[in-house]
Amino acid sequence: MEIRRRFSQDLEDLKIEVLRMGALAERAVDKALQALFERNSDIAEEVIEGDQEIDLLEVEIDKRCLRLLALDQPMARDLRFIIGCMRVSINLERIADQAVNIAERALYLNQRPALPHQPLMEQLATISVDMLKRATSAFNNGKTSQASEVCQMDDRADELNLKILRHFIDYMIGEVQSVDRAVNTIIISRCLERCADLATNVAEAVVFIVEGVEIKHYCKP
Amino acid sequence: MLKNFSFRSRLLLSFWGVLFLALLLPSLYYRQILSADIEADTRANAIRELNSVFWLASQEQPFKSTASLQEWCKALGAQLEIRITFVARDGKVIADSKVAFSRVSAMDNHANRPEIIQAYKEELGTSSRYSTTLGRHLIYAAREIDERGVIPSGVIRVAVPFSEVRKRLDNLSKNLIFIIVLTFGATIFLSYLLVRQLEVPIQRMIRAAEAIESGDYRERIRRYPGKEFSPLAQAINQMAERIDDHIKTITEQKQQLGAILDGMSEGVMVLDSSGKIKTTNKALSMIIPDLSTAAGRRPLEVVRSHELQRACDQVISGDYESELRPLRLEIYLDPGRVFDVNIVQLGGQDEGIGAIVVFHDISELKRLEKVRQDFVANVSHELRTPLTSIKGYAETILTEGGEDSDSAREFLQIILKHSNQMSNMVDDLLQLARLEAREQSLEFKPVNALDALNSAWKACASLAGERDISLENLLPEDGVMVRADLEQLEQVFRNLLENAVKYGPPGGTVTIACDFGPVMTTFQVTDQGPGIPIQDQPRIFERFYQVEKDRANHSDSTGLGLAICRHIIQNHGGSIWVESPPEGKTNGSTFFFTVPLVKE
Repeated sequence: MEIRRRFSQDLEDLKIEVLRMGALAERAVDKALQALFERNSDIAEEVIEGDQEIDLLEVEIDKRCLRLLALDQPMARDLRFIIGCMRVSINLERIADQAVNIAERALYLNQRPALPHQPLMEQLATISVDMLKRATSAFNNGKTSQASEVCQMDDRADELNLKILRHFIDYMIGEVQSVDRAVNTIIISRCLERCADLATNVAEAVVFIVEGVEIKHYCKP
Repeated sequence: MLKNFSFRSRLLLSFWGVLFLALLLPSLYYRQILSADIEADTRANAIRELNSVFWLASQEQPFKSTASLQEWCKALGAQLEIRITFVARDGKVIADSKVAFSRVSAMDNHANRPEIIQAYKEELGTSSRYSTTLGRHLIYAAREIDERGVIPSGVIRVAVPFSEVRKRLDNLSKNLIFIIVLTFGATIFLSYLLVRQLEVPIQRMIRAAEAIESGDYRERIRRYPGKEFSPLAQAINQMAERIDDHIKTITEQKQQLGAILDGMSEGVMVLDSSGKIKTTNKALSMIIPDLSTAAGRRPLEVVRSHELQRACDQVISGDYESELRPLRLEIYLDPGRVFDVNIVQLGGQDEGIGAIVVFHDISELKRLEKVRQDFVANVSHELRTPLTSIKGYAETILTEGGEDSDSAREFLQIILKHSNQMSNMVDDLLQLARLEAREQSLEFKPVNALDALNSAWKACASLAGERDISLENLLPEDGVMVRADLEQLEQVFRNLLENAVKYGPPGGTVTIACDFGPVMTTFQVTDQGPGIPIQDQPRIFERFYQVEKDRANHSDSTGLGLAICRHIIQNHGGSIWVESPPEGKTNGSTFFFTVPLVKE
């Protein structure tokens, strides 16, 4: 009984650590976008510095998971939960890396005159952040309905990414002197689209934990 | 052993034990006395019979032979229903009433019989014994007799059958047992009824106590089985009363506490010693949606802030001594929502240390702070730019001494332009101040919005001509009658049209439309410009607020136009807002404002 209680306490702690990582990753993406849209280089620096904490946290979560797997030989849902936590933390770490990429591009762009305002970028940013929030929230509540919503939103993110690419290609043809800025913006758009993909992976891990069904690459249970 | 039985069984068993003893002991004693009495009586009887036989034997003629003695014995024995025996001193039986004459000589030597030995010693001897000769229980009595005729000196003995006595005694015992059993049965039944009678009020008392135990604190024990129970009953009653009082107090306190918590504008979260949420208040559910499942979870599962979780962990693990001052931190939830969070350690007695987390919404405070900071920065920036130019050109003219009158004239014109701009800005600021000071409830006259629009467009016509921008007017032809100040309405149109013309692409159009509501009419001014970033949209109506990247391109605007519009519209009781991009479009923006309609 004592062992059982310790085990469930450990699982709870693991969940908290993953949620902590989720909150940090969300914050990183939020801040990177703030750095980009408000042209604030200080915030971009913060994002780049803050990435180390997320990396350490991923290693820590990995260790916890391995110890739980080795010592307690979990079964069924507990096993899925631990494996799922590993998947979620890997994806969150990658999302944080994308936030760093965005922050680095923002540092470059902030030194140059601004490009004309582009609402599509804002829409893509909104949708990516929203997907990430929903995915971590689905992990928190174990709601698969929320997870499948995230999967469905991914199409919209892909579509926006393509639109932005097309827009900037057209723009570059007209304005040669802003090619570098446009390319950097395209990279940011690509990073956001990756964030959305990774959020989808998190959502898939949630479905795996709760229902034990693998929905990778199908987006349907 | 009795401890394991119920109260009733114990009572009954002790009752029956006492009854049994009370009935049995006297009966046994009585039976003993009776049987001793009867035996003594029989013994006396036997002695009496012996004496009369002795007397009869001495009155009789001396017997001629032992045979005639035997005859006499037999006759007398039959008459008296006793056994008469003559025994010689040497123990030889001479005559016996119950034995045939021929067999007398063959009888045992009787010298060792206890009654005979006693008779020789004390003249009279008695004994009760089983007779092997007759096969019966008998009482013997013997006395010494002198030699007379054929009778040798020896002992005369009579034996009275004891079985008669025994039969009577047995009868008596049987009756006694019957009576005992009968009494026992009757009393068992009676005692059972009695105990039941006792038990009913005890049961009632138990039921009342049970009712109190299960939460009915108004229940009282009013009837109890005896005086001894009265302290118990009173104790239970008082206990119930006290519990009732305590519960009332606790409920009241809890209600008060709940009311205080729910009445607070700050969100409150109570954590237990393991760092899980125990309770939350109503204000917190306004801050954090989906709080219904919060109990029993960790703060991070509810509030998406790792700083909060870390701070809570610190306080609960005791790393932070919050007794002196609470741990304070600012957390950012959704964009633009800032909370000042105080965490206080809660020293529980048994459950270890918990914590109270108080959320204070300082978003509005932060926003106003930023507005104020920006205002000061902007107003100095806006005034400094023309001032620098004026100063520079004035210095140039001074150093050159006005030798080249053409360039001096040009410089003076630039100075004039910048002075005009500054003067415009000061005018705008003054107008804003006046608008802010004015009460909202002014009486406005009915005016035609179309007139205001036309004169506003006329003011922008030159700029529109430069940029080749046309106006698309979708207002009804005979105009829209609204309750407003014509001059101010014209200024709203002018400011919005100016912006639309300035930011729109050359060769584009500006569209004016309106929408009638029940009380207000909504005007729309739509341009084809680049649009306004979402994060800037709530702030463009602030004084001097300009979308950062466009500031450099349009240095001639004062940055006060939209602020003035907002104040004018607010003074008219309407509202103003922007949508960018407008619904169904990818660029451009639409400004909406509402003005009261004239009721017909």
